[in-house]
Amino acid sequence: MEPFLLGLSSAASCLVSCAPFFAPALALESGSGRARRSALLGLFLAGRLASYACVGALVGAIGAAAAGFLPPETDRLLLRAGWALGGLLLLLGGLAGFEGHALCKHLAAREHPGASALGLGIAAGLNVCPPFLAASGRAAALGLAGGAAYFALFFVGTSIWMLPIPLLPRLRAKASELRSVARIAMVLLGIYFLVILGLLGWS
Amino acid sequence: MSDRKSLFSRAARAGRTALLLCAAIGVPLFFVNSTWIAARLERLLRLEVEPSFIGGRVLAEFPDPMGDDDGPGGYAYPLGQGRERGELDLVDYIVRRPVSRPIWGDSGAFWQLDAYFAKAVATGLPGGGFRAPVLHVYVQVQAAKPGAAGSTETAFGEGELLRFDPAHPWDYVISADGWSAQAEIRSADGAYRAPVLAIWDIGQRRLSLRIGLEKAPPLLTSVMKGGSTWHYVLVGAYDAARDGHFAALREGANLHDGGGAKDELAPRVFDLLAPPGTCQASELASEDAPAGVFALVEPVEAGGPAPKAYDPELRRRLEAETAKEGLASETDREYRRAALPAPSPADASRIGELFDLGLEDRCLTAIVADLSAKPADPTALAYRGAITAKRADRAAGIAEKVRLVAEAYRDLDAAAGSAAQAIAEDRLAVFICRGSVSSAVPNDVFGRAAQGASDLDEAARIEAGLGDAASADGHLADAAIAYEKAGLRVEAGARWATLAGRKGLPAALRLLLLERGFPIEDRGEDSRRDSR
Amino acid sequence: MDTTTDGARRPAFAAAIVAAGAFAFEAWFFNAAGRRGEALAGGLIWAAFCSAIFAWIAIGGRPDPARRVFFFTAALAFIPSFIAHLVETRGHMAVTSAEIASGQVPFCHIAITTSLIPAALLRTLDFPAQLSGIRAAFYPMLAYWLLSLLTIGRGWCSWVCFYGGLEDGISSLPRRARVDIGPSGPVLRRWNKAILAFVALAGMGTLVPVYCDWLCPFKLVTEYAEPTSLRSFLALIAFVGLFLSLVVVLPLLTKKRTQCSLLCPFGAMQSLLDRISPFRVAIDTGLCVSCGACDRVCPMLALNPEARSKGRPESSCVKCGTCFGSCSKGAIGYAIRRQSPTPSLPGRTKAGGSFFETLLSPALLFPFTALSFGMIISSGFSAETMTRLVRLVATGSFLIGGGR
Repeated sequence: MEPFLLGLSSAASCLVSCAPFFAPALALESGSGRARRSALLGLFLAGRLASYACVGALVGAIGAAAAGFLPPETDRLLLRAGWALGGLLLLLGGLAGFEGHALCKHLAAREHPGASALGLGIAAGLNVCPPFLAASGRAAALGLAGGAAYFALFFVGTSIWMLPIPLLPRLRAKASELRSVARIAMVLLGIYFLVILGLLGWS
Repeated sequence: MSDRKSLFSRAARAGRTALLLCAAIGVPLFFVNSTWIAARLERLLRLEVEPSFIGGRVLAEFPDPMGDDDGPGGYAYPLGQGRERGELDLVDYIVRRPVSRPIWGDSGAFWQLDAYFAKAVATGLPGGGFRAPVLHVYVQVQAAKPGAAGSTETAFGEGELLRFDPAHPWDYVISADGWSAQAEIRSADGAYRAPVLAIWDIGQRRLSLRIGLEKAPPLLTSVMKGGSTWHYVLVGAYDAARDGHFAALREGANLHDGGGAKDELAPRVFDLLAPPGTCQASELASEDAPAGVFALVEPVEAGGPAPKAYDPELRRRLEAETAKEGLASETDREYRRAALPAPSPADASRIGELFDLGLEDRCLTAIVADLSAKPADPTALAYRGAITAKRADRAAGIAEKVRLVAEAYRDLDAAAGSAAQAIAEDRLAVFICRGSVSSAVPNDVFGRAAQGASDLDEAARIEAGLGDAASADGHLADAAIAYEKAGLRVEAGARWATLAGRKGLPAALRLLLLERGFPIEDRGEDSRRDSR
Repeated sequence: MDTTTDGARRPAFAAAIVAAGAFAFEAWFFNAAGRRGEALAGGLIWAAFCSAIFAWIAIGGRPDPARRVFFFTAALAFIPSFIAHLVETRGHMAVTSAEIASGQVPFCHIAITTSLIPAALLRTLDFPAQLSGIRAAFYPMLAYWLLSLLTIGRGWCSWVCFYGGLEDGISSLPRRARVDIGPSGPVLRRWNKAILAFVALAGMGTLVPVYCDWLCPFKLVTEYAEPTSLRSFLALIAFVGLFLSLVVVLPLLTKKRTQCSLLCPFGAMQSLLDRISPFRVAIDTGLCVSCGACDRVCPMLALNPEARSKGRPESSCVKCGTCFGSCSKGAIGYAIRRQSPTPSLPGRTKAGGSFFETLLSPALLFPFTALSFGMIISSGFSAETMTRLVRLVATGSFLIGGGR
């Protein structure tokens, strides 16, 4: 129960901080069925879990979990990497929706929503918060199997508000307009995340 | 069927028209009540501003008594620059939690410390800055371990003429003054030196020091994990020519040096943040000049274990004592009522007494008589306003209450206006009346709590000037409560800290201090200061 | 356009006079009551001005051009008042790190778009503003916004917003458009919604008010971060560029409100939530002859053949009423939402229409509501600007307190 509750304590801020990564993609799929949306969310969460696991290992390796904080430079680097990766995927996904330009057509032909969802999940997971550090520390103390179970329960707790999202009703009437708006928003988000937050590091 | 349909559509149209009418009338009605509505939203939503903007969440706050900017007692300010008393008076010190992801800042992760002063006068330089004080904060960031670095001596040559508690050797010192381009942090071993962002807020009389944590040594960065840190907070008078920019002290003050030093090792510190259980006066008088030993100072601990909850038995005793004091006061009032002469024209000279004894009607009669002879008499106007406010309290409907309070303020504000040239007793009455009313009425409706607190402060000063220290303490406590209602935490805390250093307080005041977590045990010496 | 007889016009005229009288009392109450000296003089000038505007609307029978005169004047009055305050308190327009660290930055209604979701989910305001105590604090602004949703909806953008007023006035200056962007309506609306989505999502991800950081053109006439670094310098270039292009040049060339229809996320949010407002603009499809005159004059590109056939403008309609006067058939006007689209105009009464029917019609009630809102919001700064002008004439100084 404890790891789940620890995750739950930061579930709202996880939802809010992950929203720019999954909301536009979700809007693109607003006309699709629940199965497809669930699959894409599942890939997003899988990417996030993979990211969490790697960052957790890194945090343990540098002793940050034991120290209770991540050195600011490391935290900044991870965040910027997340913004850059997420920004790039959002930008490419957004551009793929525009017609009339060769590059956009090229991107559209190679668009793979599943891979994008996975990549966006990885990007969203590069965000270390205090409950994550606490969970990493506890998981590290419990050994391999115990630690993995602890961390998994923590992860479920953080994701709780995202799980019902595929249950939202399917939009038929305005799906096309919503997709169009989502593509533009993805381009803007992509430029902002990739260039301003990722490459330049201006927050 | 068609009749029912027609009736329904007529009703629907009437309903929609009513809705439009509500929208039209609702707009001006809303704005008349917008302050109240916003206050209700505030109570409902209870938001906080993202701490990363404002420097991080508060970890520990240390109110410091007001008016103790005279070192161990008796220090005089240097005479240059026309410095005013209060410019070296630290009233609050806040240690915030480190911010790992700042927003709207050009720097990376940081740790912020805030110091509030009773008065601040700007240097006029582009980066801001207060002209009088120099602030040194010596910090121990980790509990001392064998072999750890740290120092018990000052960092600036002669500096402040102090030594530090060997149980808490400092690791870093942050120095800031209003005349240097930026503040600085340096380590005890001298290996680390870096600029510190100093934010001078003249309106709030606050200096915020943002210590950068990126590219900082691991010892400094370790503050991010939380845990206790220990702070020596020292305020001196600025002198560019001296070590550490702390002005020297002599027997008599001159243009550059302060006065009141009893020997050549008198600490050059005008105000010090003293931890609970000690007092500034004793610490800054602990030097041994013949032996050449500097005064020893102790730090405050930020992030330590939460203070023990007060003893409920002590609280019960204080409540019982308060009730006894209240009973004694009421008995005294009864005697005084009985001893009053019959109503006569002489009542005009005892308006205040009649009000204190609760004889409102007789008081009003006296006021009317007094105002017919002296229409702008501040005392009469003030008491009339106070009586109107009491009627408002007893009134039935909200509209009537609001009307009466507005009427009360017409008299109270007029009284304050004409009290400027009046004698001390008249000014005292005006400030007590207006201050008490402003503190009592809802601040989210009338927004007068801050003004009331200022009035009560003034009343406390006047009482102290008239030699009635006990009443002055009472008004100071009332001012603190009014500042709390106005949301001015720092101002309130400074007043409570001042009262906490007084001896012989009545049980009612000691109870208020106890509830706010201030120590109320008797101190070793009377640390009462004359108000200035 | 007015097809009624004299006999049928009298109740409408009487209703307009009564409404104007009520408005004048309201204007006096909010601008002049309880004030003295210069402040009273300034307040009375503004109250008289607003009352005259309303009388013009009520008796004239349509919002424009009176509304535009009020809106532009209020916007022009806001700028010197705000800048003068900054100079008096800080000595300059740039917001300082002290203000940010103290949480003393004035809260603008546009920031609601970034703040709303983090505030709801995290109980945190991602803006360094006061929460209460002054008008430009979060809770009062939130309250004004909630009130606007329940009353005028996106009418905020044509009756209240002191930024939109600037652009509205500028776009009306040229006699005719030099560049026709008529067909761009759908593109602008899509981009407007996308910018809202961007600003809201980026704000959620970073807790940074992104619009204020990089996109607000009105920084030029309010306050901005000191350009002390490359980042703040680039942001300043963005503000200046957006202001000159979207608020000045393009409105002059196109006679359209390009900033409001393309960039402003608050306007997009008001569009999405406009269905809560009881008022709307309606087109009587029975009277409409599809001449397209209204399409050409709409500053928000909210009218097109499809909208006309549906009997209502597109979501970007700001209820300014500019189109009413262009329609030779009187087919457009204010209506109650969910009522059959029969617009009513003060100059027209239905057969047998009474004084009360006219008084309580959307044609009078909406301008009363909207102008009340705009007048009260502007009562602080506009009356103060009038006061400062009085002071300028009397003493030669615009500032109160001398400045630094």
